[in-house]
Amino acid sequence: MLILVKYGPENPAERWKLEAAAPADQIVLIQNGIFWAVTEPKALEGKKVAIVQPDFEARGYSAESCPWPLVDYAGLITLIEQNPKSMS
Amino acid sequence: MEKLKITIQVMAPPYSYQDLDTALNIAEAGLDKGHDVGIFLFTDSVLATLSRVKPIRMDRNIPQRMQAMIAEKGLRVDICGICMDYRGVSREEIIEGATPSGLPELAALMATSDRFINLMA
Amino acid sequence: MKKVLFVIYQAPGGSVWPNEGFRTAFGMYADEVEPEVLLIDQAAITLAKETEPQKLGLLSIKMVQKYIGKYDTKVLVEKESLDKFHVTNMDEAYRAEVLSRAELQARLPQYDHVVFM
Repeated sequence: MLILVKYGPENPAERWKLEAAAPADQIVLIQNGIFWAVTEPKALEGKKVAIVQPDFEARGYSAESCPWPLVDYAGLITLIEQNPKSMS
Repeated sequence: MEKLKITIQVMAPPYSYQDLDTALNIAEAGLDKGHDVGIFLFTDSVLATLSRVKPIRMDRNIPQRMQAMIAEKGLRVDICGICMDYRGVSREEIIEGATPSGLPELAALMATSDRFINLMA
Repeated sequence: MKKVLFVIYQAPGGSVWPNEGFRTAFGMYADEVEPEVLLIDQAAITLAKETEPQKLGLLSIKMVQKYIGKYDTKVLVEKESLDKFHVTNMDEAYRAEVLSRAELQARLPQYDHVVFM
């Protein structure tokens, strides 16, 4: 299942989604969802996470310092191709 | 990869939030990979179809970008008709190629799409 | 038949999302989609007997009860959210099933799409 996280840790629905994520689920942090990686990386531990690179970099963070895989929009389409089910 | 029918639902208004830009970026990447991509505009996002939207010169024109993607790349755009009525958006004012529809069409899109991506409120 | 869970997390009164979540779910009966509605977090107060945005001059939420009955729509609510927001007097007309967070999360694999409103 593809889980799209669009808001940061202040959003209760995104927290709910992350808690519900199974180890095999593909989480994608997009828009302000990237703030999970910045301020609450513990919530991502043990989960399969990818970050939308343009959203990460446009918010002032550098790709070199990011421990999670970064994807561009073509890469996001690949993840969408791989996951027929979604939680978004 | 086989050709997939991908639907992206948007709810947030253009310019105030990034959602329309995100949806168009995902849609463009999908179309460029040969997929059949549609956007369903719900609630305030319907404002993104107003053809007379006029941002300052250095800013992007979201309705024009969407219209170009419809004309040049085959993007499908469905608009929630009740949401248009609620916001005073008439059929005469929307960009060419966008289709006023409704929840029955959204149901059909959900039933027939291979992938469904929602940009939540 | 696709199974879709519509999740509402924002309160009625403050936003239109409980109304829109239910309305979208009811729209699914037009095609081969089986909808369910889940209320979590502040949206759990939707189910309180006393909750009615119409008191503020806003669109009624209790109007959805008629369609829940008509379509026999499955409505779920998270127990932890009911407790957190002190909802004790639930309006039976929503016919909501109370499930724990763990029970709800265990259900998620059965849906094709989980759509947050």
